[in-house]
Amino acid sequence: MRTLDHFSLATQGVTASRFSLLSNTVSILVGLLFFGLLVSLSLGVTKFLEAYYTRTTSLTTLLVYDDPESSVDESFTKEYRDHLRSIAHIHNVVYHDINFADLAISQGKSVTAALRSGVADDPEIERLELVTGSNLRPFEGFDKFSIVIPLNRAQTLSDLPPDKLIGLELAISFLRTMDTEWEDQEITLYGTITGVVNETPDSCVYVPYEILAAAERWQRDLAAEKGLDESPAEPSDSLEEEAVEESTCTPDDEAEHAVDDGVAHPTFRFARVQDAWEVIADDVESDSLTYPHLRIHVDSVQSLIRLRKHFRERGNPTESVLDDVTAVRELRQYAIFVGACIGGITLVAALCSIFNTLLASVERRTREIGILRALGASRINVLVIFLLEGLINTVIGGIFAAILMYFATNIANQWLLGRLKDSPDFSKLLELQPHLFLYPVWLPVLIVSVGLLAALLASFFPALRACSIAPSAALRHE
Amino acid sequence: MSARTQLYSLSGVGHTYNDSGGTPIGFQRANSKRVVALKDVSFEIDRGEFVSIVGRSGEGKSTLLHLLGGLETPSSGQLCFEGKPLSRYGLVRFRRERVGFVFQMFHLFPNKTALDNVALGLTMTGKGLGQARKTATEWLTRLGLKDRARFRPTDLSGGERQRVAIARAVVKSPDVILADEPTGNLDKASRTVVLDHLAQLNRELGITVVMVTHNLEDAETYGDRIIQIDGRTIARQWSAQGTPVPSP
Repeated sequence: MRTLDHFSLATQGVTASRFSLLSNTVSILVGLLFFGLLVSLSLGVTKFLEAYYTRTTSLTTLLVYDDPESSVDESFTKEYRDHLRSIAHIHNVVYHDINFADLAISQGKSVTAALRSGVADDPEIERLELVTGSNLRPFEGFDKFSIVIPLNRAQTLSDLPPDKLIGLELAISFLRTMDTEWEDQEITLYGTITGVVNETPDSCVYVPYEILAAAERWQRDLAAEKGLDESPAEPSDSLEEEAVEESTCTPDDEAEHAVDDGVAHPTFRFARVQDAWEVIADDVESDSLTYPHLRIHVDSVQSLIRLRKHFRERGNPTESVLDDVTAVRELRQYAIFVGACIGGITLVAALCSIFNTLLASVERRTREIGILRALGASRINVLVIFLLEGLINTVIGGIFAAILMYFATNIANQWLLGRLKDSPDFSKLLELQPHLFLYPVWLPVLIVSVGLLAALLASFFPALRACSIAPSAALRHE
Repeated sequence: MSARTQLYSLSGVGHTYNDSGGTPIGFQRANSKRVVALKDVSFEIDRGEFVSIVGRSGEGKSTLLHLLGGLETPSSGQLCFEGKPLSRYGLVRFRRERVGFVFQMFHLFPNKTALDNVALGLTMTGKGLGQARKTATEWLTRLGLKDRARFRPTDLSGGERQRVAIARAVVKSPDVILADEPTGNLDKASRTVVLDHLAQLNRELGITVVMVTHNLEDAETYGDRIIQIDGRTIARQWSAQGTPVPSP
């Protein structure tokens, strides 16, 4: 019975009750729309997070920490560790900084050892930056001590209010706790003096706010002494007078920033900090210093994964944006699943409606089933007719849901954009990923497919029941 | 008159079914009662014969018709078609190709036109819709319904609907038409028209007709043979001329 018009016979049942058709279609539409919107939002939010993480630091930068178990100085008692953590807590320090404190204790011997293992000679490594943590030491060629502070990689200094310089504050607190003599020596803190973190030109340098403020004060004092009409003073070579050193966006530059708008502004001299690797190369060779924190720039994610494995096998904890991105991607799977489950609840309600309507349809069309069987229709024919009857609602509802979703996501995105674009917290983030509701081309296909699959399940039992009715019983049915 | 060949042969056929007792159709109650619908029915029907089956309501006339049409299988006895047990034909295929049903309540699909209702009988056999519609139109014309082809059943009179049902039954050139009270819902004029058409099909095309009716007058007027069911079995048989026919 190849040419039996199943569709026509199925629509006969659907159109017999227009109210059922309408209510079922609307139920399915709402269910699928809700389902789709939640999936769309899950996609958008996780994409947003992924964009956020990948913006903040290059995916090809790997942070390698010292293995805290390998070289912990036993003179640091548990109480002292707790004390460090409490400092971190007071300063609202996040994970990185707690790690910083821990690593400071370990003296970074294993990182140095890891370096000697030949990783530094890997041709895929573009640049190595050794971060000294609490390992204060004078850089060669400079009179000052520097502290490398793992500030939040995401933010440039201009974005950072003073209270957000948690790494710096932690470092100062830590130093005070550890050895008060440092204060007597009038240590000048450089902050993340090696802070060439990624390749974006406007975020390559981090300079602690306090140092900038001090420099500004110094510039003002200097200007007051010399008079406002004088040009900004050239910083001296003396680091104490210079107040601030900062590496420029282009590491080779030594430049001045002076804005001449009629008012004298502080002028900073940007003395390039030597590449960390160059600075400490001799130290590494001589084992005179240890480095608890190693930053490695590589040319590809694959290289990073390989190096990460290498260090982890050595017992060195590592950290990279790739970890965050991987976590976000994993989160996306769960988010989509949860979104789909919540949307699925509405869908189940819609499918119950279809199930109920189809059962009623089977009851109503029982005699019709008998006629079809008398005319020669097989059980399969009857099954197909009733399955189609269930699916017709879903196809109509699914198509409308897919179309409505397109408009709904657009409207929602525009609305959110309008609400959030003026917010200083969100405006920059929205530049990364302006749409919180995503509508990839596969989503409407997914919506209709899920709807069809679900409708198939909901229709199967009524259809099975329809085809199992004996033809003579169906013909006798009142 | 040419020699007649045996079409149906029933020997000791009985049928029982489960009384659902109000249980919704499709569900079987575990403790449902067995009801005897027919017992020990034996007779034969020749090809080209017009057989009328009469009897009171509830005596099993429709059940007998359903057995003949392959809608049910006998619980006991043997039912043969062209000398072979009916089950050997495959009941779906048998219904699709060998028999045409005409029901008292017409049982047309309300959302289809008369033409498509008739064509449905043919598309079931695998014919394309175009060919089926062409043949259906020929049959509607033959039954005097050419100008009603595009009408839906609700726009037709009772007699017209039943003629559409006859066209649907006959369009696939079956061996036998099984008519269950085909005039039960019709006035006298329509009744005559419908029965005349059945008789004409029987006479001109040699299609065997088995008609269940309450109306003894119609049964004797149109039937070559009349079978009376009583007590859920055959009470007697007689020819149109009134001659008793012995049971096999």
